[in-house]
Amino acid sequence: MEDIFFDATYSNLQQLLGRIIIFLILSGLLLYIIFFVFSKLLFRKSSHPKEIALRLSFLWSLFAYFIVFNIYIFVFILKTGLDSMHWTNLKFYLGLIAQFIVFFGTICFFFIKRHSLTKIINEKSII
Amino acid sequence: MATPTVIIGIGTSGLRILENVQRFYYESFGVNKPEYVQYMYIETDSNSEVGITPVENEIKQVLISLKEMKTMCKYVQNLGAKWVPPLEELSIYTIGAGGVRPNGRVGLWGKNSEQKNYIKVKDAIENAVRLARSPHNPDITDTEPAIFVTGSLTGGTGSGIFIDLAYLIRKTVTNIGELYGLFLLPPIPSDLEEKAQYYANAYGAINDLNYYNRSDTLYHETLPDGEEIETSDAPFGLTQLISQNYVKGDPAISTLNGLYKMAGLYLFLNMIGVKEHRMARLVDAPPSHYGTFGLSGIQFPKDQIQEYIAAQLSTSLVERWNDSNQYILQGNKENIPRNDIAEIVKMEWDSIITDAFHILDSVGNITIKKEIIEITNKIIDKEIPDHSKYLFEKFTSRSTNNIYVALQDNISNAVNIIIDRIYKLNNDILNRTENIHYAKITLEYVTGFIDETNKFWQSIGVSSFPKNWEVSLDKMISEINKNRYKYILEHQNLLSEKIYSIFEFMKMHFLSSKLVDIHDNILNKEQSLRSTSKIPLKLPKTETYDKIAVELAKVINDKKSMSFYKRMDDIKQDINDNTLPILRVFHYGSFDDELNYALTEYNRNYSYPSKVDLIQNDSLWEYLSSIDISSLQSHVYKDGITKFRDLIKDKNCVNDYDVTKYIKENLENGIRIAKKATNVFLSIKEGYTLDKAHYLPRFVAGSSRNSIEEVLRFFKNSEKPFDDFPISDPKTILPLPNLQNILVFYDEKTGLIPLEMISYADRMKRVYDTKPKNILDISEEQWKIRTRAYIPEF
Repeated sequence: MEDIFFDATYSNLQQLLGRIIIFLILSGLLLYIIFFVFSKLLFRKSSHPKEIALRLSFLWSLFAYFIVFNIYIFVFILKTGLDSMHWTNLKFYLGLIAQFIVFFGTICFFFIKRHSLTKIINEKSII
Repeated sequence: MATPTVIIGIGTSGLRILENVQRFYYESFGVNKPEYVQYMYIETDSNSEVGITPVENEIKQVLISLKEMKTMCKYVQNLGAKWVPPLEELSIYTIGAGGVRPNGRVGLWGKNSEQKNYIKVKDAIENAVRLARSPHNPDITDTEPAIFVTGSLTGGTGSGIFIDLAYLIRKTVTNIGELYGLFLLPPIPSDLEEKAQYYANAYGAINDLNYYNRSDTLYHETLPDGEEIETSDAPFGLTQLISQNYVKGDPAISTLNGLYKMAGLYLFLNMIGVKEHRMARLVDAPPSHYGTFGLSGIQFPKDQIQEYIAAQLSTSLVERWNDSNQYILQGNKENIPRNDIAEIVKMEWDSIITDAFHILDSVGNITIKKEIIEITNKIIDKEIPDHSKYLFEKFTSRSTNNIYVALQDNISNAVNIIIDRIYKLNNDILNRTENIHYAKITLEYVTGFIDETNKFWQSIGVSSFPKNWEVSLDKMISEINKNRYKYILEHQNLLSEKIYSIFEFMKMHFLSSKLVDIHDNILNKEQSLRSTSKIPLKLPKTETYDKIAVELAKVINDKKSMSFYKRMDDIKQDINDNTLPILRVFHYGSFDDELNYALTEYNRNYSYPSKVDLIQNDSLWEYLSSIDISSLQSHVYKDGITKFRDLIKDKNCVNDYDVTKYIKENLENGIRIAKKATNVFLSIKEGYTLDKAHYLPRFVAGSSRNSIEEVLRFFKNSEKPFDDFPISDPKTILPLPNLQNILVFYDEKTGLIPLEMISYADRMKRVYDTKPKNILDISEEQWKIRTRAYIPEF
């Protein structure tokens, strides 16, 4: 398990794909848990429509997840050590592709969701 | 013992004299008349308005209708009257009798589609006499009443009806005690031809009166009720004639109002005891049909000071209401804060629309929210196979029994809330600020926010048309199927909320057209919308404020009708009128100083006049808007003067003043005024002197015998002794305990032969006999028809 989360070396494509799938599944699971908790806790007394409150909660969940993920990245760098980060080696990036996908994916997902929320709040999109 | 007395004014002059009587009485007694006196005036001009005192007006108007003059003439001709002139000669006048004597006379006897004038006048006289013989006072019930008829002989009404009226009174009041006439004549003509009609009418009237005063003349008329009057009695027991001129050539009284005042003072004095005193003397005098009198006084014009201050305070109050820039906040003047008003209205409008939406959540005992939860549960529990169709049926406008119909039936409740709350907001703001412009701006902002709300609703697709509703409904139902958040167990809440959103959208659909109505109604001239609540309230309109503003501006400074500035000007003019034989004296030297002192006293605990002074805690909006706009000016005028006068009186801002004190200190002035009383109000030809016999009334009236005696002693013992009012004659002193703030000198003359003695009688005769050359539009014969009413000449 430690190999999956704290090993940045690229071995083969199969391992890489497996890592990406595991990262995505675990991220989705974590995000779901956070969203589930947030949907029960946040905006309970808000006068916003429920859908908007839930969408807002989801954005907060993404934000919370992103913080958790960044903590992971911090631990990952701490554990691997900066010396073993071969920034000039392209294979090094191939080994980190799962982390990159989740990192940038979360950011993109946040903005996409924020955009759709803005759209829904926009007067012309109420129905 | 008091004599039941009826004072009848004829025409506008008669009314003005009665107003003065009422004013003098109010000033002395705090009420407009005693129980045993009745005032009424007969008028052909429906536009004349009664002046006021702080208590309810007691002058009853009897309006003679002069409409359909030809019909009335035919009617009177059919009664057998031979004096009715040819019909084509009687013009139709829009105001009163138009100076034409026969118009007034035909008016008294005639009837038209509006009323039977004769019956109206007869009933009014009977009623006035009945009331004067107050049933509450058994002492005077059986006493023979005294009746005074007063007015001017220059106009068509007075000179037309005065003889008929006298005979009608004699016929109607069977046990009449005394019937007197007090009539005003025009002054020495400065431009005879210009005012020829006045002089010809006056001459004609006296000529006719002379005719009926003769014992060999028979007055014979068939009354409209079939009865006949056939008598050779004179119309009046005594006819007093006065004009603006003095016998000894002092400058004439400068205004007609001054003469009204003197006539009013004369009648007032007669009401409170002078008549009995005069009669006790006149009983020894040889019979005379005509008389005149001189009257002068020294007065502290308390009543006028109070009224002037009342007018000033009323002006301040109305200016406060009608200030387009500033309003009064906690005693300080502040600019009207448009931004703050917008904020307040925004919050209030949010609250109004929320409440209006809220009231629609229930229909009778059914709570729509509950029903929506039930629908949601059915959908969640999959009891409904096609929930889209099911929802559509619940909300479509095409069904006859669903939520749509229920809401449609309930929408009036929301409209009621909106109207009632806007009314309340307007009412509260106006009561708080007492500024109609502030309140109008508030209303304008309300319409602005209604407009904004409607625009917003339109922008999200709200439409009041059922067809568009169906399209929106379709769209909303399809939205329900998306994003159901089932995986976080929120799908039930979300579904219920989305269905409720459809319901909320439906509220907008129904309310949008209502909001347009409300918006337009506030701004436009249509009839006001009313709520159908338990206490129905009328939606305020900005246009009402515009109209109120115009009327309030008029009540402050209109030159043509009742206004505070006009009244203040009139009072000042009267106070400063040196041609009047009344000397005004003051505590503080002058009228202006007296006003300043009284105003300072009044303002001791007040910064600005407020609506509370006028209507206490009643609603200002109700006060201003419930009165017919055409009478708002006179209403506010009367309320302002009466209520503030009451307050001034209650606060004792103007104290009484013992005028004898002034006389003691200013003896020369005192004697000068006393002498004026012997200078009667009529210009007499040289070579004629009026009777000065001892039996004629000549006396001084004041609040106490001691003070009068004191004044007369001072007069007698002055450097140039003045003894025209001899202290040795007990009848010279007439104490009238309630006659406060004034000392009156009175001198009566009888034996007057008006058409011989009046200095300008010949000139009056000239225009009576021959039409003046400057009158081109009528013939000589028409002139005669207009100026002759009784003695048959044609």
